[in-house]
Amino acid sequence: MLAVHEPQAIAVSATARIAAVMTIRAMTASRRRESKRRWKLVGGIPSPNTCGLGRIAASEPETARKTCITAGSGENDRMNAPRELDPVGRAAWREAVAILAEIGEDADLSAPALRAYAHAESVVAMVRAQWYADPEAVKTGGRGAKTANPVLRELERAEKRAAELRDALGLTPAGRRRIGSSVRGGRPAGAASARDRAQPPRRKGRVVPITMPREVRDALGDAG
Amino acid sequence: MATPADARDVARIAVADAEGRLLERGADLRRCRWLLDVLARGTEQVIAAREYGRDTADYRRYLDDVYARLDAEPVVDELPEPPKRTLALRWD
Repeated sequence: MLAVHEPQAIAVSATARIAAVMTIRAMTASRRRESKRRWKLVGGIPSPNTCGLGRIAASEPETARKTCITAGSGENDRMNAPRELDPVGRAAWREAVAILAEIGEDADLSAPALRAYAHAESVVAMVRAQWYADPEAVKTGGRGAKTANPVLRELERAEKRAAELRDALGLTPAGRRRIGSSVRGGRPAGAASARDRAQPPRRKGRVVPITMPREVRDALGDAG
Repeated sequence: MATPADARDVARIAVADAEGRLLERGADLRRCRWLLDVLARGTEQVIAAREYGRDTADYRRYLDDVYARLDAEPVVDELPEPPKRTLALRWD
């Protein structure tokens, strides 16, 4: 038997959805206000949204100031964001290029990975917008069956992909540690600085054929 | 008539000889350790197969393959697959 939705139930569901959307909007507005307040504390910095550094600004205002200035300067001209990216992707691109410049990585060599990362970020933003538009974790199917909202799964997948790329590019502290880069620079841990500690030159191998010795050959009776 | 002890002695000779040659080449013995163990086991298996009167062709081919791998640059990832039929060495 097909489930027929009661008008009251539909009305309740719609009300709940509207309430959820209103709550999320209120939370977003509150977050924006908080971000603006922090930027005021830093003082005299152009809008963080123009250089996509809102996240850094909240935690590390000084880094954000430097990065924002770098991102807007001529150094970044060589690494312009690809045209096909949307604003979110471009902001992610600029942010990543600025961080790479800060840690002394050549962003030109990482262009394909950067493009993939920026695209992944724009996909995340797109899917997240869909989730905000309809934030229901459990959906009810045509026959009343409960199913997980596929948008949530897609969002999780997209965020995971973006996080992987972020990590691979060294945009996170853990990722930087893994690839051996450090914002502070200097000699990597374990690298020998003294000449007497340097690795000795490898011995040049001589061509010595490795064959079965006569004793073994005799013992096997040249079987086979 | 070869005994298990004889087989082990022959295997030891084979491994010692291979180690000596590898060292002479300047190879890293740590990288070849697993292959040398395979060589010892393979040598023992050929002798055991002979003693049991079995067809030793597979074992001998396997041993030749191990030697070929040792002769080339020994890379752990490219170790040969062991033959499907193996002898249970329960002489003792």
